[in-house]
Amino acid sequence: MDYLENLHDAVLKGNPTIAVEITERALKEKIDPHILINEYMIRAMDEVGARFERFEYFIPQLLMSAKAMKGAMALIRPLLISEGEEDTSIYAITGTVKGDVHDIGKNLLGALLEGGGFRVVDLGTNVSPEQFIEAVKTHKAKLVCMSALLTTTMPGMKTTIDAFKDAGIRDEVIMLVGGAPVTHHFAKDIGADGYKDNASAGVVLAKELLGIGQK
Amino acid sequence: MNFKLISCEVFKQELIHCIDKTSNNIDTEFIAKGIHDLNSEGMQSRIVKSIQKADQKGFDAILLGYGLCNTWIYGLAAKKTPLIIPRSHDCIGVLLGSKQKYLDYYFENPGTYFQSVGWMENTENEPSIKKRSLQKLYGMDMSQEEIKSEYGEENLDYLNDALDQTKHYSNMAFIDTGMDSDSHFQNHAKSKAEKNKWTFDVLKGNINLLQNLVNGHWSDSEFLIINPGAVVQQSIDEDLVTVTKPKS
Repeated sequence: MDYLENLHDAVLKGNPTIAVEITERALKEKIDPHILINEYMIRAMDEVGARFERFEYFIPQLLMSAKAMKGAMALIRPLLISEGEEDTSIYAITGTVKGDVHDIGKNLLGALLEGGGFRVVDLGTNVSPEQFIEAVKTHKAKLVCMSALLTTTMPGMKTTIDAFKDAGIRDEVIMLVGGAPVTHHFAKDIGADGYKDNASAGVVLAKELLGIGQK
Repeated sequence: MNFKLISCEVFKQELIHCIDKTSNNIDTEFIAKGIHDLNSEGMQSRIVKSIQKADQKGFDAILLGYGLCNTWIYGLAAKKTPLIIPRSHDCIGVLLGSKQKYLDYYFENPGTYFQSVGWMENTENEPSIKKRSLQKLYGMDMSQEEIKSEYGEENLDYLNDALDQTKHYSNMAFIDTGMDSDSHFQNHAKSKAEKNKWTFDVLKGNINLLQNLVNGHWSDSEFLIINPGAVVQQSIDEDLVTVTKPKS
């Protein structure tokens, strides 16, 4: 099983072809998919996030690591379902708020959340408060991550949090905000649970607030 | 009255026109639009450098040709001279003459790429700014050749798509403030829209806000007035900005 460390390296270095090849081989050899995820890929993506946060990794490098993990997960995920296991995934809803169509930062967060073991449901851009609420109810999500790039659209974060309060489900989810114009001060004042200025730190904060163990 | 005007070069044509019509003495300094590509601290420190110089010279007020432009303005403090800044999210609201007009159009047309003469005249960043830009810091300034050689041709489409900030854009709006008499810039904007297969709109600009700025007609609803000793803070009302006196 020594070759499995190459799966870690392929994800860390962003090599989708090798990541898929090793995953195929491992699954043929009946290696537990959970081992591939938890012991190799999540560890690699944790390191990718840490390097990104230290400005040692550029965004394209992070995107390549995400592609490598996604390629491997595409092979693994159907097996998890066909095993008939109960879905114990922690669902995270991501989306850019109403009126805003920018998604690079939100997608980076999504990639690192997946890399951190979350099951991410991405609602895309220009997402209304109602869509966020519906997605949380449908997936019994524990985490909502909202993004905005513009000051014109960032008040939509407050509108969304207020809508969660009105729907009586605010206390059931952790709500994080991010994006270029957002600050700690703003996040606190609109009643969000937290803010970070980069995707990697956002995942660490999400895990902390949800009580998910860190390495 | 004697005013110092420190402005983004994006308003250069409009402001030259307004200064021509005012009775006030205006000492003008334009700063490169490219500083918007720095982080907020970098943008603020560049503008503050000019404010500090002007602050020593006894102007009646320092006028700032900027909007919130993300978060650069938060923490800005006036020392000896009052600072005056239009209440606007960014240059689009200023050129349309009202933040509400901007918001109304924006939410009816999400995914709009705005253009104006000043935007189109100032597209190239100075090397010193490029070097410190967020694009550089995050590796988003790579050429197609660099991406190919670093990540392989097979990943070029994937990375281009993932890094494309305008992929969900569908409309271009040219703001006509009367500075484009032969429609040169408007036509250029239109052809850019066509190239991207976006719809194209021409919006009537309004330079009254800039005229009021240089004329010294600063109503509370249109302008944020930062008196000496006061500090700009973020708020969660629709203006997203407030001025607070520091505790002494």
